[in-house]
Amino acid sequence: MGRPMPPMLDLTALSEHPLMQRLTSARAIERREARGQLKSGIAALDLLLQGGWPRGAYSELSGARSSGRTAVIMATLGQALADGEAAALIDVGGGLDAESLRAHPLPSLLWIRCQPEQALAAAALVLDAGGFGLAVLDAGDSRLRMGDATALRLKRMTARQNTTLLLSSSWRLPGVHGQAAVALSSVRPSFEKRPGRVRGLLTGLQTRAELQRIEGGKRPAHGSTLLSLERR
Amino acid sequence: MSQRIACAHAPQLGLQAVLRRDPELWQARNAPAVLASSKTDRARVVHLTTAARRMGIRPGLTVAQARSLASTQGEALRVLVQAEADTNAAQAALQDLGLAFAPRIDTEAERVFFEVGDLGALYPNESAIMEAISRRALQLGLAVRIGLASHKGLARLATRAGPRTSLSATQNVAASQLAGLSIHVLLQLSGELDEAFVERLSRWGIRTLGQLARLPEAEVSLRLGPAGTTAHRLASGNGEEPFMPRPPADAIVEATELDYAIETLEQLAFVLSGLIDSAIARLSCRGLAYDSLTLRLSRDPRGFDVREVPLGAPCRQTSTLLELLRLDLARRPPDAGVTGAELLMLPARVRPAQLDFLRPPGPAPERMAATLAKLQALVGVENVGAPAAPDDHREEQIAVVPWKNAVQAGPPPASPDAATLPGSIRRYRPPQPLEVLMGQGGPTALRGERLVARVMVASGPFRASGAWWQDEAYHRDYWDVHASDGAIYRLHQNRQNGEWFLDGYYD
Repeated sequence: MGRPMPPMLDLTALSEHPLMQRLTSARAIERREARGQLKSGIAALDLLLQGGWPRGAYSELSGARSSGRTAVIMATLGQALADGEAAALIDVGGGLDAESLRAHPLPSLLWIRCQPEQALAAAALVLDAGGFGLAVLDAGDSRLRMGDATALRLKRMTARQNTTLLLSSSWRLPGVHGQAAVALSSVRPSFEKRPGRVRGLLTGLQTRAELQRIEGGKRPAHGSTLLSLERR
Repeated sequence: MSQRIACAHAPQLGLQAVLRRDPELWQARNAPAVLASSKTDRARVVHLTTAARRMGIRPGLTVAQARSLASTQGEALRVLVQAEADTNAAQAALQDLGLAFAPRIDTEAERVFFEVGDLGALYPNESAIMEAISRRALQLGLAVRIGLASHKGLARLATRAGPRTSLSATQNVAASQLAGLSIHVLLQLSGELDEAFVERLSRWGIRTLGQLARLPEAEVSLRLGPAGTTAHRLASGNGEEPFMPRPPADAIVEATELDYAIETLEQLAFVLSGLIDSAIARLSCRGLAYDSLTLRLSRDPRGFDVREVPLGAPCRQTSTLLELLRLDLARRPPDAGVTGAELLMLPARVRPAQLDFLRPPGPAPERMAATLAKLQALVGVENVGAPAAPDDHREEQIAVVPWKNAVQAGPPPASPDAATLPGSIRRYRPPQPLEVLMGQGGPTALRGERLVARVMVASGPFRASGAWWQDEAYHRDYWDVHASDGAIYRLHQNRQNGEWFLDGYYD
């Protein structure tokens, strides 16, 4: 009489187990820890990104007008500069607001105002210089076109320089797969209540941040979070 | 350590100056060519190449005579025209050659002197030092003869002995090294050592420096005066002469004069490329970078076109500088043909960066300087820098100040709680013209280049005015509107003319 055989491990069933949503391969953890992450300056978003924007890679931030992209960018830039990182903003159209700078000056920020067709070349120059912890390409309203070759080149440059490149545009770039992708969508604005149709001052707006992709990690069970933008 | 003075002599500097300006001429520098004061047949030959000398051409002949001699031998002769700008630049480049090896230099026409006694730690022997000097001179577009000796006078004499000659620091040994040289090597070494003096020695039967050194010094001085004393001392290995250091020029100037006016930017870029290459080679001699750049173009038939090209930080890349100049010229092309160009660069040190133990290293200063210049070339000088809020109440105003490569860590912007962050406006610069349909309580519909939407909620008006004491006075009514496309726009109406503008959107 031999010992009874242990039950066979049912891999198919395991892959559908809810626990698998929380597991990450050891190789992915190792890769992520080697490069680290760059905090966004918004605790809720960092939680969603499982630590922050991945370093040595590019990530995507998409959202329509008034979805809070500029606020997320400014918070990430502010956090990076506060941590002593060199940071650059490639700003298509030059839409940076002076009022925001009065509240939080960014004297160490390298600001490059450019046309849409110059943006990727400017980003490549910044990445090639090395030493930048964060480079943000904010395409504003314009449509950013990036071919596979450019995406691959940017991917290699960010990896070599260990720079976080954040591509911000109204739509997700087709065919481009950044290490992380967050989509923002505005929920509702809030105005001071006043009688009649005309409202009082705009006090803020709410936006939803949804994690659409994260490489080397698992999408959390709740893949979105609500952010509040307060008017200064 | 005994004093060792190096003398770098660039013979026929006027001719070399013209050859170094044109890469094609530089490649053909061994072909028969003469340098004359002008291209007319009656102009005199000033300098000539060795190939031209072999054909029997000598300085002082007219260009017509030189051409005739060349044609009788079936050779083509290139006639080059002397240019003062080129000669000055070559003389300055010769000084930079000295500054590449020593902090102090002494100069005279076609020569530079500098102390090399302390270079023993860098080079194994004096031959290696002379080899390095010669190599560096070629990088500057100059062919030099090099003499090394314990005194300036002897170093000057040593350049006559051969392309690279080192004379011993011991006087007797140096004298024996010089003994076999013809007395003609003394010619023009100083003002009094002229042809008549050498002729006089020849008549006495003195053919070599050794024979001159064996004569009693007092008797030579008595009969030949100061020239005799100088010649005898040199022949005896005693060339003591004060080394008088001169400060290097502050600016690097490279210039050229063109034979004919050029009209196209491509041709001009080619000329400028050569000037920039020469200037950068000179800057690298001093271990410096360029900080500011001025280009002066000579317009046809008269007048100048002066341009200043601002740079973000000290840099030393030819391609970057050429691109900046090219962009500047494309933005504002010269309004006449260009007959000459002068490039003036102010040298500056590339600031080293002090790394911090606790902070991440930022961009390397020199690399960043080149990157800034490239970015400026790509998007324009006025679009690269650090953002700053100007002292102005007009919302669209923003300033760009020079970016400093010094990240200062500090507290991050405060956030009230984990999911709250300060909002911001993304601006349209300049504000976009807009058509607005007004209702009783404010705007009800918007139509512009970037949007067509109904207004769901309007908040305003918020009045702003200022600069009434100036021409650009403004009186505006601002509105915040929640449009049907989901965005919250900021717009304003100019109260002076009723026009509406879209300022941006809250984001």
